[in-house]
Amino acid sequence: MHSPVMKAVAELDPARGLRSPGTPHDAALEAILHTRRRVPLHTRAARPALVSAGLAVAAGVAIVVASPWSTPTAFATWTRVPSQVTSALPAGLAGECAPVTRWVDDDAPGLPIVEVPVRPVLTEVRGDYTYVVQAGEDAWSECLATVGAAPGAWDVVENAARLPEPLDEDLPAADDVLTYQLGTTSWTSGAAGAGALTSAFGRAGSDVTAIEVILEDGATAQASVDGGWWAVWAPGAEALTGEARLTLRDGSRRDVTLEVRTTH
Amino acid sequence: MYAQENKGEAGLDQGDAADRLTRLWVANHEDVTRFVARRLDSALVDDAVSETFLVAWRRLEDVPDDARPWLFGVARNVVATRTRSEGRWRALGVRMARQPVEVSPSADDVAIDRLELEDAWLRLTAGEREVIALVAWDGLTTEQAARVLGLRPSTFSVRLTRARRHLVEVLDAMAHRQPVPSRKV
Repeated sequence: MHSPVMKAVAELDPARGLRSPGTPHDAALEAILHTRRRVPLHTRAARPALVSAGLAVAAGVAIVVASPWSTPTAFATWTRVPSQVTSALPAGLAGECAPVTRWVDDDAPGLPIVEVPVRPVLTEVRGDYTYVVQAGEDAWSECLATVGAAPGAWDVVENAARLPEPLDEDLPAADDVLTYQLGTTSWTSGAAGAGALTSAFGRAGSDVTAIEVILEDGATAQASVDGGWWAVWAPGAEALTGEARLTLRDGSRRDVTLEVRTTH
Repeated sequence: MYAQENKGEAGLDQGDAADRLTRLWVANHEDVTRFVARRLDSALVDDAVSETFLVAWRRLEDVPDDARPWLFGVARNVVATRTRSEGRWRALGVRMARQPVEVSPSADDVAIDRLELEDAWLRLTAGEREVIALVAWDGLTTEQAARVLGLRPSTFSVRLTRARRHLVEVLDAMAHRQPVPSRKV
Protein backbone atom coordinates (compact mmCIF):
# COMPACT_ATOMS: atom_id res chain seq x y z
CA MET A 1 0.00 0.00 0.00
CA HIS A 2 2.50 2.60 -1.22
CA SER A 3 0.04 5.02 -2.76
CA PRO A 4 -0.14 8.33 -0.86
CA VAL A 5 -3.88 8.35 -1.29
CA MET A 6 -4.19 4.85 0.12
CA LYS A 7 -2.03 5.82 3.08
CA ALA A 8 -4.22 8.83 3.70
CA VAL A 9 -7.34 6.69 3.49
CA ALA A 10 -5.80 4.24 5.96
CA GLU A 11 -5.48 7.02 8.50
CA LEU A 12 -9.20 7.66 8.23
CA ASP A 13 -10.04 4.15 9.42
CA PRO A 14 -12.94 4.61 11.87
CA ALA A 15 -12.00 1.43 13.72
CA ARG A 16 -8.32 2.23 13.99
CA GLY A 17 -8.50 2.87 17.71
CA LEU A 18 -10.85 0.01 18.49
CA ARG A 19 -9.40 -2.56 20.88
CA SER A 20 -11.20 -5.84 21.36
CA PRO A 21 -8.73 -8.65 22.02
CA GLY A 22 -10.18 -12.11 22.36
CA THR A 23 -9.27 -14.30 25.30
CA PRO A 24 -9.96 -17.99 25.98
CA HIS A 25 -12.23 -16.97 28.85
CA ASP A 26 -14.61 -14.69 26.96
CA ALA A 27 -18.25 -15.41 27.77
CA ALA A 28 -19.21 -15.11 24.10
CA LEU A 29 -16.68 -17.78 23.18
CA GLU A 30 -17.94 -20.03 25.97
CA ALA A 31 -21.48 -19.64 24.65
CA ILE A 32 -20.41 -20.73 21.18
CA LEU A 33 -18.46 -23.70 22.50
CA HIS A 34 -21.58 -24.93 24.29
CA THR A 35 -23.58 -25.11 21.07
CA ARG A 36 -23.76 -28.15 18.85
CA ARG A 37 -21.18 -28.08 16.10
CA ARG A 38 -23.31 -29.69 13.45
CA VAL A 39 -26.73 -28.15 13.04
CA PRO A 40 -29.56 -30.20 11.57
CA LEU A 41 -29.59 -29.68 7.85
CA HIS A 42 -32.56 -27.76 6.53
CA THR A 43 -33.90 -29.84 3.70
CA ARG A 44 -37.16 -31.16 2.48
CA ALA A 45 -35.62 -34.38 1.30
CA ALA A 46 -32.82 -36.43 2.65
CA ARG A 47 -29.95 -35.27 0.52
CA PRO A 48 -29.14 -31.75 -0.60
CA ALA A 49 -28.98 -29.34 2.27
CA LEU A 50 -28.22 -25.71 2.80
CA VAL A 51 -25.45 -25.86 5.36
CA SER A 52 -26.07 -22.43 6.78
CA ALA A 53 -29.82 -22.70 7.13
CA GLY A 54 -29.86 -23.80 10.77
CA LEU A 55 -28.08 -20.66 11.82
CA ALA A 56 -30.35 -18.57 9.63
CA VAL A 57 -33.43 -19.89 11.35
CA ALA A 58 -31.92 -19.25 14.76
CA ALA A 59 -31.07 -15.69 13.88
CA GLY A 60 -34.29 -15.02 12.04
CA VAL A 61 -32.41 -14.13 8.90
CA ALA A 62 -31.02 -15.97 5.95
CA ILE A 63 -27.33 -16.42 5.50
CA VAL A 64 -25.38 -17.66 2.57
CA VAL A 65 -21.91 -18.33 3.79
CA ALA A 66 -19.09 -17.62 1.43
CA SER A 67 -17.02 -20.72 1.02
CA PRO A 68 -14.38 -19.97 -1.55
CA TRP A 69 -12.42 -23.10 -0.77
CA SER A 70 -15.06 -25.71 -1.42
CA THR A 71 -14.70 -27.94 -4.41
CA PRO A 72 -17.71 -28.53 -6.64
CA THR A 73 -18.37 -32.23 -6.90
CA ALA A 74 -21.95 -32.14 -8.06
CA PHE A 75 -23.92 -30.47 -10.83
CA ALA A 76 -22.41 -32.59 -13.58
CA THR A 77 -25.37 -31.92 -15.85
CA TRP A 78 -25.32 -28.14 -15.37
CA THR A 79 -25.36 -26.15 -18.60
CA ARG A 80 -24.10 -22.66 -19.38
CA VAL A 81 -27.35 -21.85 -21.16
CA PRO A 82 -30.69 -22.56 -19.47
CA SER A 83 -32.88 -25.00 -21.35
CA GLN A 84 -36.12 -23.51 -20.05
CA VAL A 85 -37.03 -20.11 -18.67
CA THR A 86 -40.47 -19.29 -17.36
CA SER A 87 -42.16 -17.34 -14.62
CA ALA A 88 -44.27 -20.35 -13.64
CA LEU A 89 -43.37 -23.16 -11.30
CA PRO A 90 -43.25 -26.63 -12.89
CA ALA A 91 -46.27 -28.66 -11.87
CA GLY A 92 -44.21 -31.33 -10.21
CA LEU A 93 -42.43 -28.78 -8.11
CA ALA A 94 -45.56 -27.06 -6.82
CA GLY A 95 -45.48 -27.03 -3.06
CA GLU A 96 -41.81 -27.95 -2.85
CA CYS A 97 -40.54 -24.37 -2.91
CA ALA A 98 -42.13 -22.84 0.17
CA PRO A 99 -44.76 -20.20 -0.69
CA VAL A 100 -44.10 -18.39 2.60
CA THR A 101 -40.94 -17.11 4.26
CA ARG A 102 -40.91 -16.86 8.04
CA TRP A 103 -39.01 -14.34 10.09
CA VAL A 104 -38.44 -13.61 13.72
CA ASP A 105 -39.73 -10.16 14.61
CA ASP A 106 -38.02 -9.04 17.78
CA ASP A 107 -40.53 -6.25 18.31
CA ALA A 108 -43.60 -8.47 18.20
CA PRO A 109 -45.16 -9.70 21.48
CA GLY A 110 -45.81 -13.36 22.08
CA LEU A 111 -44.74 -15.59 19.23
CA PRO A 112 -42.66 -13.19 17.16
CA ILE A 113 -43.00 -14.92 13.81
CA VAL A 114 -43.84 -12.89 10.74
CA GLU A 115 -44.85 -14.65 7.56
CA VAL A 116 -44.17 -13.06 4.19
CA PRO A 117 -45.76 -14.86 1.21
CA VAL A 118 -43.64 -15.23 -1.91
CA ARG A 119 -44.57 -16.32 -5.41
CA PRO A 120 -42.45 -17.61 -8.30
CA VAL A 121 -41.16 -14.85 -10.54
CA LEU A 122 -38.55 -16.77 -12.53
CA THR A 123 -37.83 -20.46 -13.06
CA GLU A 124 -34.95 -21.80 -15.10
CA VAL A 125 -33.67 -25.28 -15.86
CA ARG A 126 -30.03 -26.26 -16.31
CA GLY A 127 -29.50 -29.98 -16.78
CA ASP A 128 -31.14 -31.87 -13.93
CA TYR A 129 -31.54 -28.74 -11.84
CA THR A 130 -34.46 -26.37 -11.60
CA TYR A 131 -33.75 -23.01 -10.00
CA VAL A 132 -36.65 -20.85 -8.84
CA VAL A 133 -36.62 -17.26 -7.67
CA GLN A 134 -39.62 -16.19 -5.60
CA ALA A 135 -40.50 -12.71 -4.41
CA GLY A 136 -42.91 -11.16 -1.96
CA GLU A 137 -43.56 -7.66 -0.75
CA ASP A 138 -40.29 -7.28 1.13
CA ALA A 139 -38.72 -10.74 0.90
CA TRP A 140 -37.27 -13.08 -1.65
CA SER A 141 -36.35 -16.72 -1.72
CA GLU A 142 -34.36 -18.93 -4.04
CA CYS A 143 -35.00 -22.60 -4.43
CA LEU A 144 -32.84 -25.19 -6.18
CA ALA A 145 -34.42 -28.53 -6.92
CA THR A 146 -33.37 -31.76 -8.50
CA VAL A 147 -35.15 -35.05 -8.86
CA GLY A 148 -34.86 -37.13 -5.71
CA ALA A 149 -34.07 -40.78 -5.24
CA ALA A 150 -37.68 -41.82 -4.72
CA PRO A 151 -40.10 -41.68 -7.67
CA GLY A 152 -41.83 -38.32 -7.82
CA ALA A 153 -39.71 -36.86 -5.04
CA TRP A 154 -37.65 -33.72 -5.28
CA ASP A 155 -34.56 -32.75 -3.37
CA VAL A 156 -34.90 -29.07 -2.60
CA VAL A 157 -32.69 -26.47 -0.96
CA GLU A 158 -33.86 -22.98 -0.17
CA ASN A 159 -32.50 -19.65 0.92
CA ALA A 160 -34.37 -16.47 1.74
CA ALA A 161 -33.87 -12.93 2.93
CA ARG A 162 -36.06 -10.08 4.07
CA LEU A 163 -35.33 -6.53 3.03
CA PRO A 164 -35.85 -3.30 4.93
CA GLU A 165 -38.12 -1.87 2.25
CA PRO A 166 -40.54 -3.25 -0.36
CA LEU A 167 -38.88 -4.84 -3.36
CA ASP A 168 -40.79 -2.63 -5.77
CA GLU A 169 -39.58 0.55 -4.13
CA ASP A 170 -36.33 0.55 -6.04
CA LEU A 171 -36.29 -0.60 -9.65
CA PRO A 172 -33.41 -0.50 -12.13
CA ALA A 173 -33.16 1.91 -15.02
CA ALA A 174 -34.32 0.53 -18.36
CA ASP A 175 -30.77 -0.29 -19.42
CA ASP A 176 -29.55 -1.59 -16.06
CA VAL A 177 -30.01 -4.39 -13.57
CA LEU A 178 -30.50 -4.55 -9.84
CA THR A 179 -28.87 -7.37 -7.87
CA TYR A 180 -30.61 -8.81 -4.83
CA GLN A 181 -28.36 -11.78 -4.30
CA LEU A 182 -24.83 -12.70 -5.28
CA GLY A 183 -23.37 -15.35 -3.05
CA THR A 184 -22.21 -18.86 -2.44
CA THR A 185 -24.12 -21.71 -0.94
CA SER A 186 -22.47 -24.85 0.35
CA TRP A 187 -24.47 -28.00 0.20
CA THR A 188 -24.12 -31.74 0.32
CA SER A 189 -25.51 -34.30 -2.03
CA GLY A 190 -25.58 -37.78 -0.60
CA ALA A 191 -22.31 -39.61 -0.66
CA ALA A 192 -20.92 -37.18 -3.22
CA GLY A 193 -19.80 -34.91 -0.43
CA ALA A 194 -19.90 -31.17 -0.16
CA GLY A 195 -20.30 -29.02 -3.19
CA ALA A 196 -20.87 -25.37 -3.68
CA LEU A 197 -22.72 -23.17 -6.08
CA THR A 198 -22.79 -19.47 -6.71
CA SER A 199 -26.10 -17.85 -7.51
CA ALA A 200 -27.19 -14.37 -8.42
CA PHE A 201 -30.50 -12.80 -9.29
CA GLY A 202 -32.35 -9.54 -9.30
CA ARG A 203 -34.43 -7.20 -11.41
CA ALA A 204 -33.76 -6.38 -15.05
CA GLY A 205 -34.61 -3.09 -16.71
CA SER A 206 -37.21 -3.09 -19.47
CA ASP A 207 -34.59 -2.72 -22.23
CA VAL A 208 -32.43 -5.61 -21.03
CA THR A 209 -33.01 -8.63 -23.24
CA ALA A 210 -30.06 -10.84 -22.28
CA ILE A 211 -27.36 -11.05 -19.62
CA GLU A 212 -24.08 -12.86 -19.98
CA VAL A 213 -22.08 -13.37 -16.80
CA ILE A 214 -18.34 -13.94 -16.64
CA LEU A 215 -17.36 -17.11 -14.81
CA GLU A 216 -14.29 -17.68 -12.72
CA ASP A 217 -12.71 -19.79 -15.46
CA GLY A 218 -13.07 -16.93 -17.92
CA ALA A 219 -15.95 -18.54 -19.79
CA THR A 220 -19.44 -17.12 -19.79
CA ALA A 221 -22.89 -18.31 -18.82
CA GLN A 222 -26.20 -16.99 -19.98
CA ALA A 223 -28.51 -15.74 -17.27
CA SER A 224 -32.24 -16.16 -17.49
CA VAL A 225 -34.19 -12.98 -18.15
CA ASP A 226 -37.96 -12.99 -17.93
CA GLY A 227 -40.68 -10.64 -16.75
CA GLY A 228 -38.29 -8.03 -15.42
CA TRP A 229 -36.22 -10.53 -13.42
CA TRP A 230 -32.90 -12.20 -14.09
CA ALA A 231 -31.13 -15.14 -12.48
CA VAL A 232 -28.12 -17.34 -12.94
CA TRP A 233 -26.20 -19.92 -10.96
CA ALA A 234 -23.11 -21.98 -11.61
CA PRO A 235 -21.22 -24.77 -9.86
CA GLY A 236 -18.34 -23.70 -7.67
CA ALA A 237 -17.79 -21.49 -4.69
CA GLU A 238 -16.48 -18.54 -6.66
CA ALA A 239 -18.05 -19.33 -9.99
CA LEU A 240 -19.34 -15.84 -10.73
CA THR A 241 -16.86 -12.99 -10.99
CA GLY A 242 -19.56 -10.35 -10.67
CA GLU A 243 -18.84 -9.03 -14.13
CA ALA A 244 -21.66 -9.17 -16.67
CA ARG A 245 -22.56 -7.94 -20.13
CA LEU A 246 -26.09 -6.75 -20.82
CA THR A 247 -27.67 -6.91 -24.23
CA LEU A 248 -30.24 -4.19 -24.74
CA ARG A 249 -33.32 -4.05 -26.91
CA ASP A 250 -31.55 -1.97 -29.58
CA GLY A 251 -28.80 -4.59 -29.88
CA SER A 252 -26.18 -2.59 -28.01
CA ARG A 253 -24.20 -4.11 -25.19
CA ARG A 254 -23.18 -2.74 -21.85
CA ASP A 255 -20.71 -4.12 -19.27
CA VAL A 256 -21.75 -3.91 -15.63
CA THR A 257 -20.53 -5.11 -12.26
CA LEU A 258 -23.13 -7.03 -10.29
CA GLU A 259 -23.27 -5.78 -6.74
CA VAL A 260 -25.86 -6.56 -4.11
CA ARG A 261 -27.67 -3.39 -3.30
CA THR A 262 -27.29 -1.93 0.14
CA THR A 263 -29.18 0.71 2.05
CA HIS A 264 -27.35 3.75 3.32
CA MET B 1 -1.60 -16.35 13.07
CA TYR B 2 -1.90 -19.91 14.24
CA ALA B 3 -0.99 -22.66 11.86
CA GLN B 4 -4.01 -24.87 11.54
CA GLU B 5 -4.22 -28.45 10.52
CA ASN B 6 -7.28 -29.27 8.49
CA LYS B 7 -8.85 -32.52 9.57
CA GLY B 8 -11.87 -34.37 8.41
CA GLU B 9 -14.98 -34.23 10.53
CA ALA B 10 -14.33 -37.68 11.92
CA GLY B 11 -10.82 -36.67 13.02
CA LEU B 12 -11.82 -33.51 14.88
CA ASP B 13 -13.34 -34.44 18.20
CA GLN B 14 -15.07 -31.97 20.50
CA GLY B 15 -11.91 -31.23 22.46
CA ASP B 16 -9.82 -30.61 19.38
CA ALA B 17 -12.57 -28.50 17.89
CA ALA B 18 -12.90 -26.38 21.03
CA ASP B 19 -9.16 -25.89 21.14
CA ARG B 20 -9.04 -24.84 17.53
CA LEU B 21 -11.92 -22.41 17.79
CA THR B 22 -10.38 -20.91 20.92
CA ARG B 23 -7.14 -20.30 19.05
CA LEU B 24 -9.05 -18.79 16.15
CA TRP B 25 -10.92 -16.55 18.57
CA VAL B 26 -7.81 -15.33 20.34
CA ALA B 27 -5.92 -14.75 17.10
CA ASN B 28 -8.70 -13.06 15.14
CA HIS B 29 -11.34 -11.63 17.47
CA GLU B 30 -10.02 -8.08 17.38
CA ASP B 31 -9.57 -8.07 13.60
CA VAL B 32 -13.04 -9.46 13.02
CA THR B 33 -14.53 -6.95 15.47
CA ARG B 34 -12.87 -4.08 13.62
CA PHE B 35 -13.99 -5.48 10.28
CA VAL B 36 -17.59 -5.62 11.46
CA ALA B 37 -17.44 -2.28 13.29
CA ARG B 38 -16.46 -0.54 10.06
CA ARG B 39 -19.59 -1.82 8.38
CA LEU B 40 -22.36 -2.18 10.91
CA ASP B 41 -24.21 -0.19 13.53
CA SER B 42 -22.23 -0.39 16.77
CA ALA B 43 -25.18 -1.90 18.63
CA LEU B 44 -25.04 -4.93 16.35
CA VAL B 45 -21.30 -5.51 16.25
CA ASP B 46 -20.93 -7.98 19.11
CA ASP B 47 -23.76 -10.17 17.85
CA ALA B 48 -22.37 -10.17 14.33
CA VAL B 49 -18.91 -11.12 15.58
CA SER B 50 -20.34 -13.97 17.63
CA GLU B 51 -22.37 -15.13 14.66
CA THR B 52 -19.23 -15.15 12.54
CA PHE B 53 -17.38 -17.37 14.97
CA LEU B 54 -20.47 -19.54 15.38
CA VAL B 55 -20.30 -20.25 11.65
CA ALA B 56 -16.59 -21.03 12.05
CA TRP B 57 -17.41 -23.39 14.93
CA ARG B 58 -19.90 -25.29 12.82
CA ARG B 59 -17.63 -25.39 9.80
CA LEU B 60 -14.20 -25.77 11.36
CA GLU B 61 -13.17 -28.27 8.72
CA ASP B 62 -13.63 -25.58 6.08
CA VAL B 63 -11.52 -22.95 7.82
CA PRO B 64 -8.19 -22.70 5.99
CA ASP B 65 -4.78 -22.09 7.48
CA ASP B 66 -5.02 -18.43 6.55
CA ALA B 67 -8.20 -17.99 8.54
CA ARG B 68 -8.56 -14.22 8.57
CA PRO B 69 -9.86 -13.74 4.99
CA TRP B 70 -12.22 -16.67 5.49
CA LEU B 71 -13.57 -15.15 8.69
CA PHE B 72 -13.90 -11.76 6.99
CA GLY B 73 -15.82 -13.42 4.17
CA VAL B 74 -18.23 -14.96 6.66
CA ALA B 75 -18.49 -11.69 8.59
CA ARG B 76 -19.22 -9.81 5.39
CA ASN B 77 -22.14 -12.11 4.67
CA VAL B 78 -23.39 -11.79 8.25
CA VAL B 79 -23.22 -8.01 7.94
CA ALA B 80 -24.92 -8.05 4.55
CA THR B 81 -27.67 -10.27 5.85
CA ARG B 82 -28.30 -8.09 8.86
CA THR B 83 -28.20 -5.08 6.61
CA ARG B 84 -30.81 -6.50 4.28
CA SER B 85 -32.89 -7.77 7.17
CA GLU B 86 -32.74 -4.83 9.50
CA GLY B 87 -31.78 -1.87 7.38
CA ARG B 88 -29.03 -0.74 9.68
CA TRP B 89 -26.29 -0.46 7.15
CA ARG B 90 -23.57 1.99 7.84
CA ALA B 91 -21.73 2.81 4.70
CA LEU B 92 -18.02 2.41 5.10
CA GLY B 93 -16.64 5.63 6.40
CA VAL B 94 -19.90 7.32 7.27
CA ARG B 95 -18.54 7.94 10.73
CA MET B 96 -15.20 9.24 9.58
CA ALA B 97 -16.10 12.86 9.99
CA ARG B 98 -16.36 12.39 13.71
CA GLN B 99 -12.98 10.77 14.03
CA PRO B 100 -9.96 12.85 15.02
CA VAL B 101 -7.64 12.08 12.15
CA GLU B 102 -4.24 13.44 11.35
CA VAL B 103 -3.22 13.10 7.74
CA SER B 104 0.43 13.67 7.06
CA PRO B 105 1.72 15.16 3.84
CA SER B 106 2.13 12.38 1.35
CA ALA B 107 5.40 11.10 0.01
CA ASP B 108 5.28 13.41 -2.96
CA ASP B 109 4.77 16.39 -0.66
CA VAL B 110 1.21 16.93 -1.75
CA ALA B 111 -0.91 17.27 1.33
CA ILE B 112 -4.29 15.61 1.09
CA ASP B 113 -6.87 17.66 2.90
CA ARG B 114 -8.71 15.50 5.38
CA LEU B 115 -12.11 16.99 4.80
CA GLU B 116 -11.73 16.76 1.06
CA LEU B 117 -10.65 13.15 1.39
CA GLU B 118 -13.70 12.39 3.52
CA ASP B 119 -15.90 14.12 1.01
CA ALA B 120 -14.30 12.28 -1.89
CA TRP B 121 -14.62 8.98 -0.04
CA LEU B 122 -18.32 9.42 0.35
CA ARG B 123 -18.65 10.14 -3.37
CA LEU B 124 -17.36 6.68 -4.22
CA THR B 125 -19.77 3.84 -4.80
CA ALA B 126 -20.27 1.29 -2.05
CA GLY B 127 -18.35 -1.22 -4.15
CA GLU B 128 -15.42 1.14 -4.59
CA ARG B 129 -15.26 1.86 -0.86
CA GLU B 130 -15.38 -1.85 -0.18
CA VAL B 131 -12.36 -2.80 -2.27
CA ILE B 132 -10.28 0.10 -0.97
CA ALA B 133 -11.28 -0.55 2.64
CA LEU B 134 -10.33 -4.21 2.47
CA VAL B 135 -6.77 -3.16 1.69
CA ALA B 136 -6.41 0.20 3.43
CA TRP B 137 -8.41 -0.53 6.60
CA ASP B 138 -8.64 -4.28 6.93
CA GLY B 139 -4.99 -4.70 5.99
CA LEU B 140 -5.47 -7.51 3.50
CA THR B 141 -3.30 -8.34 0.55
CA THR B 142 -4.90 -8.28 -2.87
CA GLU B 143 -5.14 -12.06 -2.84
CA GLN B 144 -6.72 -12.16 0.62
CA ALA B 145 -9.18 -9.39 -0.22
CA ALA B 146 -10.16 -11.22 -3.39
CA ARG B 147 -10.99 -14.26 -1.27
CA VAL B 148 -13.23 -12.18 0.98
CA LEU B 149 -15.24 -11.05 -2.03
CA GLY B 150 -15.12 -14.42 -3.78
CA LEU B 151 -13.23 -12.94 -6.72
CA ARG B 152 -10.15 -13.87 -8.64
CA PRO B 153 -7.14 -11.78 -7.53
CA SER B 154 -6.86 -10.32 -11.02
CA THR B 155 -10.49 -9.22 -10.93
CA PHE B 156 -10.01 -7.65 -7.51
CA SER B 157 -6.89 -5.84 -8.70
CA VAL B 158 -8.80 -4.34 -11.60
CA ARG B 159 -11.56 -3.14 -9.29
CA LEU B 160 -9.05 -1.72 -6.81
CA THR B 161 -7.21 0.14 -9.53
CA ARG B 162 -10.47 1.60 -10.84
CA ALA B 163 -11.59 2.61 -7.36
CA ARG B 164 -8.28 4.29 -6.54
CA ARG B 165 -8.32 6.08 -9.86
CA HIS B 166 -11.83 7.32 -9.23
CA LEU B 167 -10.87 8.54 -5.76
CA VAL B 168 -7.92 10.47 -7.18
CA GLU B 169 -10.11 11.92 -9.93
CA VAL B 170 -12.63 13.15 -7.39
CA LEU B 171 -9.84 14.69 -5.30
CA ASP B 172 -8.37 16.34 -8.38
CA ALA B 173 -11.75 17.75 -9.32
CA MET B 174 -12.09 19.20 -5.83
CA ALA B 175 -8.64 20.74 -6.01
CA HIS B 176 -9.55 22.56 -9.21
CA ARG B 177 -12.89 23.79 -8.00
CA GLN B 178 -13.02 27.57 -7.57
CA PRO B 179 -14.03 28.98 -5.24
CA VAL B 180 -14.09 26.23 -2.64
CA PRO B 181 -17.56 26.11 -1.14
CA SER B 182 -18.20 25.38 2.48
CA ARG B 183 -18.60 21.64 2.80
CA LYS B 184 -20.96 19.78 5.07
CA VAL B 185 -19.17 17.13 7.12
